[in-house]
Amino acid sequence: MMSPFKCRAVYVLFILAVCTPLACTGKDTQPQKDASVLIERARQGEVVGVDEHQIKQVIESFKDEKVVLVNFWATWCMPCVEEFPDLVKLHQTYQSKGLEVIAVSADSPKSVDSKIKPFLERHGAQFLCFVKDTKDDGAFINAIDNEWGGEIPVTFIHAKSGARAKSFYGKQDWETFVAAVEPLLD
Amino acid sequence: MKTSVLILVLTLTLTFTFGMFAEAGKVKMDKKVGNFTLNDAAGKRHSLKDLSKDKKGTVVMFIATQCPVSNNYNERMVKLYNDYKDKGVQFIGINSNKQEAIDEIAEYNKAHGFEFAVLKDAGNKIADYFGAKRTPEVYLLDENLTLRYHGAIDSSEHEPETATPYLRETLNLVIAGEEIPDEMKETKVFGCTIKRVRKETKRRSTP
Repeated sequence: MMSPFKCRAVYVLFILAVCTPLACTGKDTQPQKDASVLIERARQGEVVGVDEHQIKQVIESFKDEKVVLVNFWATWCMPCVEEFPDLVKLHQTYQSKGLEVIAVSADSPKSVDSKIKPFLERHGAQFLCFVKDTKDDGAFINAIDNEWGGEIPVTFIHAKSGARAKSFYGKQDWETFVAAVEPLLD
Repeated sequence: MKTSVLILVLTLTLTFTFGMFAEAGKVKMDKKVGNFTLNDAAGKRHSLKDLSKDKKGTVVMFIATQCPVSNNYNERMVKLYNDYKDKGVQFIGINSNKQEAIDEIAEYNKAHGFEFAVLKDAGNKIADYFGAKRTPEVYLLDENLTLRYHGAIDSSEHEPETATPYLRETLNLVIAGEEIPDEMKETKVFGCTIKRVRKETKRRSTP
């Protein structure tokens, strides 16, 4: 039988072994891991449900790596539907220059197969697509942007530093998107 | 002299006539909402003042026939109406969408069992006055027509069973004559943009 002293020593060693790698990184790695799993699933063509914390983690995971354009839309929103082809074109034109396009649908998570995926396929969207899946719409809206009232479409553009470079409330045209994105790219 | 009097009379007349809309979009929390008059789908005229007479609370709901988000709240709106109609609460639906005609609204109300008045805001003047942008978007007025709550019916379009019932919570306080805590006065809501008759002159973009 192990003595109380030995037992305590084993416990301390165990804690050190688990905690030291985390402490060395200087930050909590769990959100990054969660975000990378969500991104990977989205890259495989899945339309993943995300709450306010997850979508923030996804956006923040591109910090110091890419310019990020996040668009909130829905299949039932006509201005969003009209704007969507420009997002597809933006992604095609600028992805090689460091632009990541993320679309977050406000459709019901239950309509992924019946509405969202057919829409994305029809438009040839190859970027990351998620669907809002939250118990609190207000918290979701506020987590993304305090100024945003919840109207869609809305588009937020983040510079490589992660800082918000532009916020567009309402439908935009191709020229506006290009003028906002190009100066931020390499 | 005569000209001065005429100008004064004209100014006063214009102020009186359009005073209510002089500050479009300026309905403010904890301030009294001005009266307005609109037709229902049957062509009958209703004023806010008449509809809310002797009521403990009035719920003004900007709704739509073609907006899936608003449509998802139909059953919840009917239930709210049924639960509160005998508790001194008036419900007023307002349709400000330019593409949704009166006939369509009448048919829609019947099909979905709306027993509350749905008024047509042709020209979206009342939506402008309230600053309403989306459907559904609700404004709760107390017995003095003071705005006490603005925002969503509840916290989740897709999960009504587990949603926080913002409108019910604030309605209960208003009926009881109690203060609404500041943190409960405004909530945000996903919804369809109200399709207005005129193009927005300013497109919001920051910074």
